[in-house]
Amino acid sequence: MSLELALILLGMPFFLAGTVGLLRFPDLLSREHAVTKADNLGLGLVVLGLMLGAESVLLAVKLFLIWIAVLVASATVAQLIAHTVIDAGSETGGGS
Amino acid sequence: MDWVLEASALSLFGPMGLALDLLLAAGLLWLAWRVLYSPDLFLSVVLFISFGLLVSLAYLRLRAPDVAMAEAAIGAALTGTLLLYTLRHMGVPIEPPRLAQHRLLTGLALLMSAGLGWAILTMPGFSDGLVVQVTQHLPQSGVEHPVTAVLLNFRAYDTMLEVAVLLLALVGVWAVSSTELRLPAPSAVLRGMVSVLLPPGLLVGGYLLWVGAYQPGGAFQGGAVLGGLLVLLFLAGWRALAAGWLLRLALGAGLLAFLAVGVLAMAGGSLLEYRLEAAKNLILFIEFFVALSVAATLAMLLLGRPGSAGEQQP
Repeated sequence: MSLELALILLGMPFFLAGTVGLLRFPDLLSREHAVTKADNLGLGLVVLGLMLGAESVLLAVKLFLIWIAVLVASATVAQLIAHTVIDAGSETGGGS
Repeated sequence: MDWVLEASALSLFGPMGLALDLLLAAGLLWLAWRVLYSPDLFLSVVLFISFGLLVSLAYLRLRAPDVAMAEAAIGAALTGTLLLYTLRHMGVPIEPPRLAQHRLLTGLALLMSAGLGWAILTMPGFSDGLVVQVTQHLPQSGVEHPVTAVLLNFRAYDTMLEVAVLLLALVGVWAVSSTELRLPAPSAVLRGMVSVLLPPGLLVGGYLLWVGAYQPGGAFQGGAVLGGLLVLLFLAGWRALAAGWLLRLALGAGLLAFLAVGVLAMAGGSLLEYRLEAAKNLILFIEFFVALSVAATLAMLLLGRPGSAGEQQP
């Protein structure tokens, strides 16, 4: 078993856990917390594994950039959703 | 043909590829059903966006990355946002159709599916279509990518009218809805992300435009990326971009450039018939302005007629 495969397999449980968290956690903020773990760490490990197996350095760099792009997007969207939830909560006078 | 796809990860064949395709097909059907039958319209729209992203994956699997990019940007992102925006303005819940209506619609849909299925099953198994002709005449087009050659040379007239239709559509939308999109004050996080994404986004949009000459890409894909950037800029508070004659110029630039090149070509031949040695530059010239127009039009479809927010005040 190569390091490449090991990294990809290590990344996959994060997606499973993130999805289960998204479905099972009680409130929006903890759900978000769970699902961003999949984006950040899970995808990071999968991308790292794929990078080791990439045919060229250019392809490896592209894969890395995809991970960075997803990180930027998911971190921002998570913040925006959380802010919206908090704002809505403070208007109605309570949490979710 | 080597322009199809270079990334080996996407050209999965064999049993793994088949499994992925079957999963994708089943997911599409399931999502389509959920979009139509979920009781909550908001949920429907969110599912519709996921549906669009899966459709775009399906196009990738069919090795049509051009269409995949357009579907992701326009089919999923822009249409989804427009639907969400519409939903926020509706207020009144929509009554579900009555049973008799429902049966009639289901019957019509089944009839349509049967007709489509019959048409597909009776098609000849394999046809070259116009592929041979396009490949033969590709050296005369000035570009090396068949799709771009068809869009901007062989069938340039159609594309010019398409650009005109896009402009007309925006005029129609502005005529019907006179309200400007009212946005919440942009958060610092969003502004930060936009300033991080802007330079690489411009690079990607420009690259897609440039690369269209010999790989999947071109004015519409590049324009869609730039349009997405414009929407992000608006959301982050750069509203001044949407004001004044500069915007109107950008909206009309594609059609104007197309018309100008077409009419100039009439000096030596007929409408839109470029000379071979000038073809590549002329195509790039048109594509640059069409991309600009596509970007501006897509963004303004979402934002509404600029400067009209004041008119709505009682």
